[in-house]
Amino acid sequence: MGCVRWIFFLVSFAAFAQDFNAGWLPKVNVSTELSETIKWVNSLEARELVYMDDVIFRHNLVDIATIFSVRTSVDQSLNLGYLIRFRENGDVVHRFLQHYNLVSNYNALRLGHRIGFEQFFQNATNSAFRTRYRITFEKALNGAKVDNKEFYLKMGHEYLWNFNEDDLEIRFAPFLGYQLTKKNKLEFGVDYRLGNFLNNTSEHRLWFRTTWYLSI
Amino acid sequence: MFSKKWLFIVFILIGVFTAVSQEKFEREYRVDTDEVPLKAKTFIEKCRFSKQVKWYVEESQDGKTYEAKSVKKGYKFSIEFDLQGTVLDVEKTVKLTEISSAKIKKIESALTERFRKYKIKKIQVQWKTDTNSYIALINGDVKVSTNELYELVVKGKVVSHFKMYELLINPEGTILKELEIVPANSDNLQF
Repeated sequence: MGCVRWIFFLVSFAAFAQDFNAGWLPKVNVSTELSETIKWVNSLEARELVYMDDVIFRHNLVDIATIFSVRTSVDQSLNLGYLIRFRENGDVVHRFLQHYNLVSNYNALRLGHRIGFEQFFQNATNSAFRTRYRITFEKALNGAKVDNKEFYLKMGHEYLWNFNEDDLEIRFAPFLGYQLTKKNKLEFGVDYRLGNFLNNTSEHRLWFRTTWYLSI
Repeated sequence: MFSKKWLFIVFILIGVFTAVSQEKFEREYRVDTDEVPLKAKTFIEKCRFSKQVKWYVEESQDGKTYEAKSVKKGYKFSIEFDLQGTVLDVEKTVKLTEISSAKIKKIESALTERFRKYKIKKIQVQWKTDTNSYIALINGDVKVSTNELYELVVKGKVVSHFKMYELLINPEGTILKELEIVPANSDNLQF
């Protein structure tokens, strides 16, 4: 029944939005501390299309990323990484990323800022470049901080500027998280992306996200 | 097909890691006023807080305590109780400028001796006294004389990297307790 409602919602949304895709983004993020200030983070993410012009079920792509995170202060870090994307049509995209993060703790709230630059390289097409800024809130649903076996809310809002297309993408991503242990978190939510924001040919992407954050 | 296999692996791994992971047990959660000992509630009523009083339970290997948090005249108060509702201590968040210059000098001297570089992020005055004095202090009665300690959150560098510390210092500038604050994992806010 839940699945039928979900499909009904997608079809209804698609009726309003001409260019609309939807699907599922499962992701596993594994990090390990290499030293007091350096962390190595690896992730695997898939994209499963559920709606593209019509209801479909199709494996779309896989992203594999490796990132070295250098802590520059108590609450700041510089993340340098590489991501390789395998598309269903056989295309491979290489992405280099440089992200700077600031995470602030308030009484019952954590606030994360991320500013980043990314370069895309693909055999068949030209290189692409973009910059992005994201703000994320995290709030415990019980008590002032997130403890083990407790739920939390996470809300992300991001702006991405594509230098090649001179256009903006806006993302809005509310999540429900659950902390199994201090090193083990699960998040469920949606990631709504509004692309080509300035060019009057808006693209709507609605992804259901499930992410597992694990520190070993 | 790929999705089902992937999902299966994820759930198996979740089970494994949940089973094997063992951490220090520490939990803080909100509770309703009804769940709080009567003695603690009576004490809070006498404090006449202008803002809502939020009740919490703190559980750890060391035991269980109740904590009331509220605001009065712009100051944040935190009152800790044992399970019978007896006050264990009262903490009031203040600005550094509100502490006498003589005491600040002693605190800063202790910090200069302990850290190569430091910055005070938060300071709380901590009182341990009798019930009537607690109420008088919370209500802003400056005539009450009691021993006070200072609980500080400090960003400090001992050797090479800045870390966060929680320190308990007495007015003579002696560090009574030092605890390194391990920052919560923020992978989900970064990646």
